[in-house]
Amino acid sequence: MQTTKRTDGDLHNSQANVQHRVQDGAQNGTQDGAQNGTKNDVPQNTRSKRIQSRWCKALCVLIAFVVADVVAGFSLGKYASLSSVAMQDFLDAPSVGTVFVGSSYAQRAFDPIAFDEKQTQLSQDSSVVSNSYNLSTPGETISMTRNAVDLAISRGAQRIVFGLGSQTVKVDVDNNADISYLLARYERDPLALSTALAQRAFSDGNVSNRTSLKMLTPWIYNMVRNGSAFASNLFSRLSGEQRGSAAQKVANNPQWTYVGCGYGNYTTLEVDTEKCHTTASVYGNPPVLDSCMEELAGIADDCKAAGVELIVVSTPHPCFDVLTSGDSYPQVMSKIQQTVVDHGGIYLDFNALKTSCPRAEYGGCHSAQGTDDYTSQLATDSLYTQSDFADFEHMSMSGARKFSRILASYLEKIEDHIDVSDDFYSYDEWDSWSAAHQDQVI
Amino acid sequence: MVNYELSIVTSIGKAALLVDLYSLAFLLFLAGALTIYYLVGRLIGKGQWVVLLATSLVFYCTVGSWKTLWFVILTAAVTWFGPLVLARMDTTCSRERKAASDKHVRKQIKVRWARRKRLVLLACLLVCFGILAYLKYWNEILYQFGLASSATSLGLLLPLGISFYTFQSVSYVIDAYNGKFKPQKNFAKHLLFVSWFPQLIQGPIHRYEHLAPQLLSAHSWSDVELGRSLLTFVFGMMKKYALADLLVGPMAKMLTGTSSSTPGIQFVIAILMYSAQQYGDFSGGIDMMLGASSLFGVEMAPNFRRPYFSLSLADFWRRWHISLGQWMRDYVFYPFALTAAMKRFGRFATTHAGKHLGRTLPACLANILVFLVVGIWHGAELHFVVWGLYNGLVIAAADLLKPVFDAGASALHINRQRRSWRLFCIIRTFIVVNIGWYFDRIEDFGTSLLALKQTFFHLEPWRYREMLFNLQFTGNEKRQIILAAVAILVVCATSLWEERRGHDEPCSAMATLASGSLPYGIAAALLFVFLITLAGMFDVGGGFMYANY
Repeated sequence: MQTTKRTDGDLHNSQANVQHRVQDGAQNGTQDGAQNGTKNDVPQNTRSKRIQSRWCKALCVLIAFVVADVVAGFSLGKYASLSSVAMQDFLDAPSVGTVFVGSSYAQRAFDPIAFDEKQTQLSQDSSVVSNSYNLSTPGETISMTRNAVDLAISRGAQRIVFGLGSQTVKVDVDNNADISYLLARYERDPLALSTALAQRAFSDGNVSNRTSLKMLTPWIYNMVRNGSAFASNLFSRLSGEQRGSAAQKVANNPQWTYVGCGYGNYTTLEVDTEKCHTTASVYGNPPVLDSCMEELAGIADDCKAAGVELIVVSTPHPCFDVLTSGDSYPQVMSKIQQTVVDHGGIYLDFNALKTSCPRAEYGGCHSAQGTDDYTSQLATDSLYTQSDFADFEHMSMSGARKFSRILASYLEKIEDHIDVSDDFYSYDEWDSWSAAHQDQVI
Repeated sequence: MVNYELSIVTSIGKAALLVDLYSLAFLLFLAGALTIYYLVGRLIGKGQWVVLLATSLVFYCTVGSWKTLWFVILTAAVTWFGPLVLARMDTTCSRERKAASDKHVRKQIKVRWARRKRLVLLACLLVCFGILAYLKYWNEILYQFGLASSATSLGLLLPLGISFYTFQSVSYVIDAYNGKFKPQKNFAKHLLFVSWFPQLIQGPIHRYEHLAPQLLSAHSWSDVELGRSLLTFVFGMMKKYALADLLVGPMAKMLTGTSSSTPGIQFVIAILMYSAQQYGDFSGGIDMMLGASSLFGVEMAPNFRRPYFSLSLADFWRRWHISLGQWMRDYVFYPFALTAAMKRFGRFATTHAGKHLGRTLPACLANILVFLVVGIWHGAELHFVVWGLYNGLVIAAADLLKPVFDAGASALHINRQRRSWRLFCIIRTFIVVNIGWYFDRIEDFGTSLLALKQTFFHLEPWRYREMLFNLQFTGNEKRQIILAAVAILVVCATSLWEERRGHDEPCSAMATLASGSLPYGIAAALLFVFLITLAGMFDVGGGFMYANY
């Protein structure tokens, strides 16, 4: 505080300049309000010109922002996101047979090429067309999966295989994943994309927070994040490079490798030996959402109405991950099973196979031997090996290949009307399953 | 150790608004309000202030909470009615004095009515500050005495901007008491002054005679400086979302889990981040509201004037949260310094210690009181009180030692007009201010002392790489820091430009850009929007730090 004496002009001392606007504003009206503050003495044509000038400036500003947005999206938005790889392969396909949908559970578990190879082998018919595609995208929520299923049906898919996990029915909105999906889905249809984004901006959950305005710049949900990725991205977009190979250059993880038919996977394991993740430790146990179950029922109904076979598959996890989920796993998965079956679909849980289970040497991160070797937890029996799992919830390249062939075998049996239910534990006998594998928990 | 991440999350949660200012809902709200406001002016020609009042109440209920609206209305009612009663007392007093024939009787009448007026004033102040104190401090006090399970166990809802509208209302009552203006007879108009929405979140604190005439007068869309308003708004958004919000997480990480082995360099960087974050959050929000208010033709008072270019701590507090400083000066500092007791003390000091101390000591005590109040206003916690006292004591010491400094400068032949001296003062003040932030930001007083000790005695800048390794910033956190650094450069550049030109007007750089060539204005706006957009990819940040003060 000043120690100088206060004067009447203190309020307007060294801040005289800043006060002038406030004073101007204050002097424009009386305490009880002026009758008319407009400047009627300005000639009408001058006012018209001023208004016209304002509109022109506003238009220039709007155009500048739109152009800047488009340029930024062009240069910074990923030309080849993992979602666009899957989508573009699918949309460019001459025909589609089996379509795999879902989030990263499905994206990294279904190898369409291995699946088709096995199918051809089993049918012993060389004329069988290999036209399976993996349309799964990372983090895809079930509402987006339904959109993908509807797209697949519209393109003539004969079978939909929906790969999921317990978390699939616990998350209804994930803007990061959903926007990436929409950008890929409607890349060739700007009007549909704008409509989808506008709906999202005005939705109850978004309109009052910053997500609503992010819809004006959706490319930030799928942005290149370093200089080399920026250069590669720009080059790929300008040269029209094939998406799969372009994605390999800009994927967040440099070990992502494109295989084909919308499918790619990581060639390294991503385990973190210090953090020891499981589904329970990472996601907790949030409740199943009714909206998700409704979408699941809707997917089954859409397939049934279109005469398309729906197979809902719980993709393999390492055994210890299922064990550490406790009772919540059978509780959630039995709900999914019930919904799928009630609406005419087929449900298979490949964590409940009796003949084999993706075993672990121990069920936690600390064994009796005291070692904290997380990777050894992923060791399995003769069906899967240690390197078949990338982490606690995703399969690796080799694991996806194996699993896809197993899946093809089972689907062939189902096609031949062979009852495969005896190969799987039911959720009613989950205690038996747990008891059978409890020795793996120390 | 204190869980700073938790405290940051908690404090952000407390300050979170129901509707974000950075949202489609708010933009639509603003556009709708402006449309109705100017249509009313054009078609009806009067009563635009009613639109402002409706807008403010709707804003309060949607951005804040309708459940606490009655607190605002109660404060407005008390501070509206009180001055009317005071005016009635003045009228009665004049009448009685005119009727009295004796000079002595007239004096008695005046004394009697002055006492009654003081009681009315006191009642108004008690109600206003009582509500504020109860909602802000009661739960905390009970908790400190073990009568509550936690500092929030009573579940008291803190109304949006309670301090700001309370201080503003109190200034109205005191100024009316002092006869600065005739009190407003229309309750709705007074309610508008109290609840004007751009100032609700975090000020500025206005004076009635500056704000009310603007609110109540008619405005035309053609008179709005649209470019300046929008640029100011977007500039504020950049400070808040592309600077302040991005630093919260990394800064919290740097202050979590610290100990006596933490190198001082870590605390220094964290506090510097806080320095930038707090400025970006507070001044950014103010700029946004300055811009929004000017769209309605209402120019709000400035609240920041490039505070990190201050030449002294006293100068800093004339540039940081200007309206609070002015309020404290007019309603705490001067009333206290000019009391009979302080005057007597001043005379006593002059007699026994000399003219300088006689003049300075009362002001020093008043300053310490002011900053103690400011500290307590921030929160009923020891570190805020210490922070307030630190500022008060430093300013007091600077005043007391001024002759010593003057003599020293003279002896050393220091030319205080030189630019190098000015630069030295700016850096010195920046350091002094940031030492204070140690007490403001670090919630545990013992830890703030530890942090200062490590800073001064174990700076160890060579452990910088080790520090980065231990902190394990994620890729996103590193990008956040880089983007915030770019935003800081932009803010520094505009501040330097304004400072060199001695501009007092808030965001004068934006005004210059808007009034200049259109491409420059568009380029500036695009830069700000681009930085804000990039910040959006991190999904961090929350409400305004001062929203529920």
